[in-house]
Amino acid sequence: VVIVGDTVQLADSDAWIDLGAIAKGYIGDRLVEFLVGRGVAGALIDLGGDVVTFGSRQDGSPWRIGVREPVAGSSELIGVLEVSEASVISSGVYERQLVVDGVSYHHILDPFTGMPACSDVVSATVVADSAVLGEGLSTIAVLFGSELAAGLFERTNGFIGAVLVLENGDVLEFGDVRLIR
Amino acid sequence: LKSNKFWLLILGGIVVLSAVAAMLLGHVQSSYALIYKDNVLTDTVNLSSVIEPYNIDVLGSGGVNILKIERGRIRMSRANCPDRICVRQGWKSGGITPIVCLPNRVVVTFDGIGSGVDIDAVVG
Repeated sequence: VVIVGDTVQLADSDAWIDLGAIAKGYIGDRLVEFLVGRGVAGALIDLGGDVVTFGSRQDGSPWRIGVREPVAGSSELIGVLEVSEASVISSGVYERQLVVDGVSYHHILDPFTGMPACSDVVSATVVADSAVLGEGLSTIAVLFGSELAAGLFERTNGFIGAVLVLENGDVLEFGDVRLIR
Repeated sequence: LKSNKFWLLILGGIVVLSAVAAMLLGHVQSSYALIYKDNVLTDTVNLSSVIEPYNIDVLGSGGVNILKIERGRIRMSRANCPDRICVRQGWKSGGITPIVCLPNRVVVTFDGIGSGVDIDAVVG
């Protein structure tokens, strides 16, 4: 990796950077800036599975965001999060899978091995004060597991809370969020 | 043995009748369509109790919208707005996504079983 100022380049011409993990969040954060700049008092931006909010509902109550259960094709919720002025970002290994010779490979890849992540977390929903931060933290939780994520959550500025669903079905809550069931 | 056959027939009959009842009654969940014009609620339709299909004409601030209503579902069938995104949304039976005609300021939201009442969005 060649770093010059704020520019990053990969030395290997066959490699490229995939911004899939954070692009939606980055766009969400820029949309918030745009809308606030135009005098909008509050909005919920649904980026298709990820949500960015600022302000609150018209009646002043917090936004209510449902968290889907981590089962492919399911529309069931495991609970609802109430948030204001925050992004709610999910990463999971239960959608977007490729099956080859009966083995399924999901889309979140471990940068150290190039293989799909293999941790105890099947779904991570992070509430953070910016969408890009939420994208980063939720992807890391799925990549490296609940133990590493718990430590990272604690020492990250801008982290508000998280809900992790583990492989064994356990639902863990972190920080300042409560999953209303 | 005869008595056993009799009770088996009765039991079989109950199973068949239950299955038919479940097919007829269980098919349509209770769901209400709330129709707003210029942010004001103008109509509430219990979709599960609709017997004959009918239309509702909504004269919004920007033009005319025609809602088509059948048992368990509703759609925007015609609109004089420029893009007709509302018409392309097709039939809806509930859920958290409303039917919206932004140019004419007509909105249809859903309330009731399976509608995700009081939820603004879903992640995951």
